[in-house]
Amino acid sequence: MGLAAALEAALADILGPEAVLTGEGTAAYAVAGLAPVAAVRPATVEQLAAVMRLAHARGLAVLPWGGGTMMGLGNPPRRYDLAIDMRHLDRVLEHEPADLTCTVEAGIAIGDLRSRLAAAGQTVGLDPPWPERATVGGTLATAIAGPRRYAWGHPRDFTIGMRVVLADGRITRAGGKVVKNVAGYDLCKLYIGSLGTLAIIVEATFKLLPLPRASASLAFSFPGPGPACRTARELWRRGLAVTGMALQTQGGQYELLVDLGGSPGAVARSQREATELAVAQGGREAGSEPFWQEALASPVASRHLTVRLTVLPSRLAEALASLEALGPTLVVAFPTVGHIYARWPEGADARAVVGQALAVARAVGGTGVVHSWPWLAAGAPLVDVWGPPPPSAALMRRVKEAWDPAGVLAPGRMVAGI
Amino acid sequence: MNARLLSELKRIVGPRYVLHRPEELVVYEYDATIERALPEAVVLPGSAEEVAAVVRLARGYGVPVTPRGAGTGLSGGAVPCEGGIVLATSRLHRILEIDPENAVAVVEPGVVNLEVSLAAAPFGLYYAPDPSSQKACTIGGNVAENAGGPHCLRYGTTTNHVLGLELVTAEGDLVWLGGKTADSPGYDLVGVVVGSEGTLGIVTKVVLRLLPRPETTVTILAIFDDVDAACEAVSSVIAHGIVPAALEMLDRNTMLAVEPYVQAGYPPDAGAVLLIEVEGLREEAEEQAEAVRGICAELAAREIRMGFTPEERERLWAGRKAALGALGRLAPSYYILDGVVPRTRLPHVMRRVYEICDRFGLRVANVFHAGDGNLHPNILFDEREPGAARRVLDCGEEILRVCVEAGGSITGEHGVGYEKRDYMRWTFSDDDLATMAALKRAFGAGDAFNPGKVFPTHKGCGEVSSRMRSAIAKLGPEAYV
Repeated sequence: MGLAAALEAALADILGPEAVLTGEGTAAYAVAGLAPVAAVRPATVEQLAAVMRLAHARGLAVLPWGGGTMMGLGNPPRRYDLAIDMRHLDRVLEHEPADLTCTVEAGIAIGDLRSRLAAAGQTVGLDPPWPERATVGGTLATAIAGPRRYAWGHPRDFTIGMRVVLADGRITRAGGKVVKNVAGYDLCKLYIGSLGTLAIIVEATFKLLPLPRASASLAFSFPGPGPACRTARELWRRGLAVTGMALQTQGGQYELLVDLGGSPGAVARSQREATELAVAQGGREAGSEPFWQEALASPVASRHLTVRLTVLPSRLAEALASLEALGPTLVVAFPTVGHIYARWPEGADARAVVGQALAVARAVGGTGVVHSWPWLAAGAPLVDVWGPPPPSAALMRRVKEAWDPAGVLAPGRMVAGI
Repeated sequence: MNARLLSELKRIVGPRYVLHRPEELVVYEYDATIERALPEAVVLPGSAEEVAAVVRLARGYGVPVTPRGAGTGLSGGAVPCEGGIVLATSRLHRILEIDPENAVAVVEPGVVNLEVSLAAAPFGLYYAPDPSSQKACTIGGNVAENAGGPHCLRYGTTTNHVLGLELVTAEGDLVWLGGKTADSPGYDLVGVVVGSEGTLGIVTKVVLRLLPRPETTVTILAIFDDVDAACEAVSSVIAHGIVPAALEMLDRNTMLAVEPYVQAGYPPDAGAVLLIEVEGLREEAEEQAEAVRGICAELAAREIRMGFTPEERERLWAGRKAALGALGRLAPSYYILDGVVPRTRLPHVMRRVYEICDRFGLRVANVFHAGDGNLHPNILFDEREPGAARRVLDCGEEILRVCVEAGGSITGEHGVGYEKRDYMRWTFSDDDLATMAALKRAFGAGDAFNPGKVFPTHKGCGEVSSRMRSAIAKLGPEAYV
């Protein structure tokens, strides 16, 4: 029996044969052109733990897989033997509407979770692109946030508890189920954004939000980034009832998209004031479709180069103006956060574009990350998509070594090749 | 303490800033808890580089370092359980930058919480976390304990407002985690250092997020005949999807203590009051205030007061924030708890709190962040009465068990510290705790910083309790909760 067949048999023992894919079926789980030997779909946390014990014992490199919308993020894995598809772990375990909290399994799609919560007039702050596909676990592991971060915060702000499977198959908890808790180290923070390199998130508990009673969407078009950013900042300063905000540019026009939500009176007034503010900055009302999702990620394996710049909000307009010269096809920014996502089509000279985009960030004191570079094949000349290592990279490496000394979880995907 | 170590400490920070005589050290043996432990030396460094040099030196001698802010903590965080060096941050008290354009402040750890908001006020900004001790407590201490406060209900605790930290590691290196820009690449080490109770490193600079002052704040005082009805009202407000800026409860015993002391405007004949604030745009705040008023009225509030002048509002909050200190009027000593429960369980758990205290024959005063489900039963007693301390500790343990059984936590904002470390096993398995220990290992911290905190010991509970018994003492009016 070959290695692949032996592995398939061992996995089938744990999961049943129908939950194990090998051969051509694993192509759907390729990352950076690298397909795993096998892909599995555990139906319980205990099955997943057993798979990890096996993987750990055999030194198999494992990548957890959610909706697959954000697999372009991170360095190509150094090794990749096994994909763990989390989408069968998709239950809502607890939802007590009167507590404004819920606990769910990590494989549930954000869209499903939203519908379940909406029935109780509530929602969760997770706001990834392509919510119908993106899962809770993937959204936490990538720490991705969309326009609603403006009001709902970052996943780290409302995730109050987690259950994870460690590299050796042990199941542990962090945090709890109450909205305020300082018992022990807050390891939820460590797992959020760790891209599957420390542990596999299997459950999460969130603080929830009431859905606003009234809402409205506005769009304003500006001739340049400066007035758009000034409008965004003034909306924030006045505390208007803004629930989401994105600035998008295509063809030289800068469009500020603003979602409002709250009491009917607050929304009506915010709509009036936002329009006045935008007009005073030279903006005019626009009606275009938002394309922030396309800029951040893709629901299918796409062939776009995406770079994310992080700058101080006060320097964002400047960075946007400089980026224009690099000819991106889509640019979306979150002006009050300081993030810019810029996308180029396949065929762009990726190395040159990335270098120039990162130089734009550096020029305004910011940093840049290659968010997606699908044709950067595993084993290609070394490029750290995260940019130069942060000052704390040595400490991060020690965290990885403490969590996963055998290096089985998503090896190489993180900052500095961690 | 080793004479050579002392002289080297003096060389680093200057002789004035090393304290080692017994009469100097006693000032640093306590915080706002019942814990007491004498440091062998206290150093007051004047810069991050001096902190790093002190840490390197202490490491060479194998002496632990315990950082200390204002000493207002409520879990023994600043008490050097195993002796060694106390590193006081009182000279690291500069506000380095207020950046109104990006709504951030960069401060040293010894800066007092309220000073950040005062410095940001000219720009219409403020720092949201507001522990009751905010006129005294420091940002460094807030970061160590992940401090909360009344308005954290809406705005989140310290961890939601810290963007970056400069840290002195166990090796004595200065390293930046995070920064002024959002989402630095890599693991969120800022998020794990906040709330690590000074066990992973010593924070020497902090980048804080500032918020714009809300346009309107409406203060509501809802007066109830009994705690039960007030608790029902809290659960109902949250169940209606209303998250006020603050939702605090004071019971009768608390008001009896506070009113003669502060004349805050609380009705001492009521069973309980809720001090509620809703904030935001005028339209939103007014609508929420009406909804809250309706809920309280439906749940048999005896009276609902609104329309306070700014001075009246100030006095209500002064009374709330001074409540713990005022309890000294009711009893020579008290023991404060910090349990958390799901908001739906509040009525049930509060009934149990009073039952348990009754059974132990102990008076209790409750003043707490009801909207978060974060209880602060203050058990009143007289330490001179034989057996009282034992009874208080047993009573407190039983109350925290009830919180955990209700799905809650042993601490919401004060920290585990020393006294609750053996309760960690109630909510965390050996594997959970081993994972936390892995973090300490990754930071190379071992017992370098604040040893004896957070992690359960292998000592029996009796041993811990006997130490605590001997440590129980009266708290002064400087205490806050």
